[in-house]
Amino acid sequence: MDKTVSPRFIPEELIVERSVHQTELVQRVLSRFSRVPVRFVDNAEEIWLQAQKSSSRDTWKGKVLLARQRGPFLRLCPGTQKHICCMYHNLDVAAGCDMDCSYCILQGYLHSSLVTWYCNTDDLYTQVDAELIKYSERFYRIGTGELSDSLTFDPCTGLATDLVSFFRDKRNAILELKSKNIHVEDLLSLDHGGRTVVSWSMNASVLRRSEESAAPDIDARLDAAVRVQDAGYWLGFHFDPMIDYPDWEQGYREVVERIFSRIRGEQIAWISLGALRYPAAMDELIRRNHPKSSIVLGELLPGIDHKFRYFKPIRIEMFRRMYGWIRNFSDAPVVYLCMESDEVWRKAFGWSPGSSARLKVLLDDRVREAPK
Amino acid sequence: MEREYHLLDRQKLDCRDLLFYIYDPLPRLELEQSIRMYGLHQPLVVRSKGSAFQIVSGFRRAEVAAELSLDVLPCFVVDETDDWRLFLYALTDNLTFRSFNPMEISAVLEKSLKIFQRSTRQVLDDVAPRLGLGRNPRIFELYHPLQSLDSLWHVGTANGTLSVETAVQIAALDSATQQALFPIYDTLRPGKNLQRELQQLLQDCAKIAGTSLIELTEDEELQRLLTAGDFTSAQRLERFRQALWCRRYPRYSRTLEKLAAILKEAKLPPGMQIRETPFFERDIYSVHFQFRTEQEFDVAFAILQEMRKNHLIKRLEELHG
Ligand code: SF4
Repeated sequence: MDKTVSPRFIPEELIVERSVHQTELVQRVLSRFSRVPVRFVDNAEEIWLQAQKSSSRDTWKGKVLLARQRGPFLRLCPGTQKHICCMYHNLDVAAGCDMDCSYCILQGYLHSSLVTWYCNTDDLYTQVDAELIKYSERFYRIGTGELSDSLTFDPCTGLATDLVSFFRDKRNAILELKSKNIHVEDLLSLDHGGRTVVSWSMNASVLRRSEESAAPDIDARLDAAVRVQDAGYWLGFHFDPMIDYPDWEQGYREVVERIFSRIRGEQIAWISLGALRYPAAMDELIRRNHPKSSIVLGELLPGIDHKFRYFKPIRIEMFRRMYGWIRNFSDAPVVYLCMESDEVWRKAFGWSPGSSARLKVLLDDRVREAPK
Repeated sequence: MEREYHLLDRQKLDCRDLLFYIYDPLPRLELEQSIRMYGLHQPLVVRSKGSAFQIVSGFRRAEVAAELSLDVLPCFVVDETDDWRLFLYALTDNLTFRSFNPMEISAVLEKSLKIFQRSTRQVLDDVAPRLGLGRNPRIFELYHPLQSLDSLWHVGTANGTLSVETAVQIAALDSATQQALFPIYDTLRPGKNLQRELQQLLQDCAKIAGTSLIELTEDEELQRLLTAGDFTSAQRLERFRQALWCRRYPRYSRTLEKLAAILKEAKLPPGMQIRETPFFERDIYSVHFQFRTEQEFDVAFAILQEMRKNHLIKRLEELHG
């Protein structure tokens, strides 16, 4: 059994946009990394442009830009009309990640290893508050794990910890910290009010080694999950992307068994399943950036949204088996599919929420109250 | 740059000094024809070198002149000691009359970097715009790797039969593999839009089978498709591609085969079609048929009912997993 524990990220250079220099977050980061070289820039966009143009991804490795978020922090996940979507909100507090998974979609978005932390957090809190008050009858599931990993930089920024406290009293929202990392120490003693789901992306162990090699291994993630469980948080697990490889059944079943041998089903809010998929242009990026990875050799064909996806019967079979294994252990968590059609839902699970709105209700209802 | 026009004795040109030579694999037929018909009008550019002259621009003209036994050649003699400036001058001289093919561009980049020891920045500033390539650093990824291309592939790359992108993919392989692949392209002659797919399929199929590309090219089925005499070239290419698809996408290909078998059993008349959605991504089939009369309509409808009775519709349904 491998026991890789990801080291904490230490920036090699901090690039600070002057307009956020005085913010609490920047001051905190600067005090935590007083020995790391700091450079100031007037406009973060220059740096994004340079990073975008750079010929090698590695040029920006270890560099962190502390910048002002230009757009809204809170965005409804775009989904697609052709699939059932969970109607999630993304909170863009960072862009970039230090774990470099072979299938990571960020390769296509960001073009370089530059990491950006958005530091005008006062705006963030104001925007979220305004939205939650304005639509107080709506329920929001909000996550920070779309353009980054929710926990990987927390020892540097403490932002995840801040957010847990911020969401503690929110009655119509829940925060999800979605991660492959294990930096949970600072979460354990917080008063979270049951308003945070801490969730882990899981994969078969063999794939962790080949495709997520910089991320902590599955047991380390489970160790962290157990600690978070003991601290009374909701938990979540995401098998996304599931990857079709010769021993996938054994590999994934084992992980499901390991989860339920240590985690109570009643405390798991949800488990999502999603099969490997990516825009056509990413195929070349994965081949170039991860020449040893064999994920591009799967039976990936263009889907209705033009993304490459496994041939549908393969996906259905994977989801069907996973659903069965999970339900052998517990009926409590909502098990859902990410970006799949009503047909795939029915064939894989034997039922379907029928619409995105209905799926949203199922997920919202699961976490309206704190876990029992 | 100072230059003087002279008529020089061909014997005085040092054709073995290749400092400014830019490799081009294409035959010089057109140039030969033109010189044969109209004579050599574009002067060479040379620099004096002891009692002889070093060619700066016009290697091909000198070669053709030798073949046609022209003894006296029009030349501009330049008085310039800076080799790099002369190289740039030679580029401009050549590019006044024609554009460079990908193999020549690759040779220019190689010479600039290795022989004249210029930095990539200098090459981008001084050379790339002359070649009409702007200042995009991607030119190094796009053309420079062609230096590793086995000579079998040079002419195809230079004359544009092979896309530069595919040529670069092939250049990344060792030379034995490049040689093993050549007969496939030479026989199938895929158009540029199919080359990339073909190359990717070959590489992926080899990886999936856990063999080398050389072993894959020796595969019995593929060899048979390459050599069988009863196909047109378009059919041969399509069959070859299909054979690779079956290995690359086995479950999808098996599903397509099952669909074909069902439709064969259904004995659809000409003009009647049942179609799946692309890659079976949606569980929908569409039926197309044409009719002019009630009777024709009834025939088509009866065929569909027959399909249902024979459980063929159920089997179509099952293809979706
Ligand atoms: S952990 Fe997530 S965000 Fe980070 S590289 Fe992996 S897939 Fe991308």
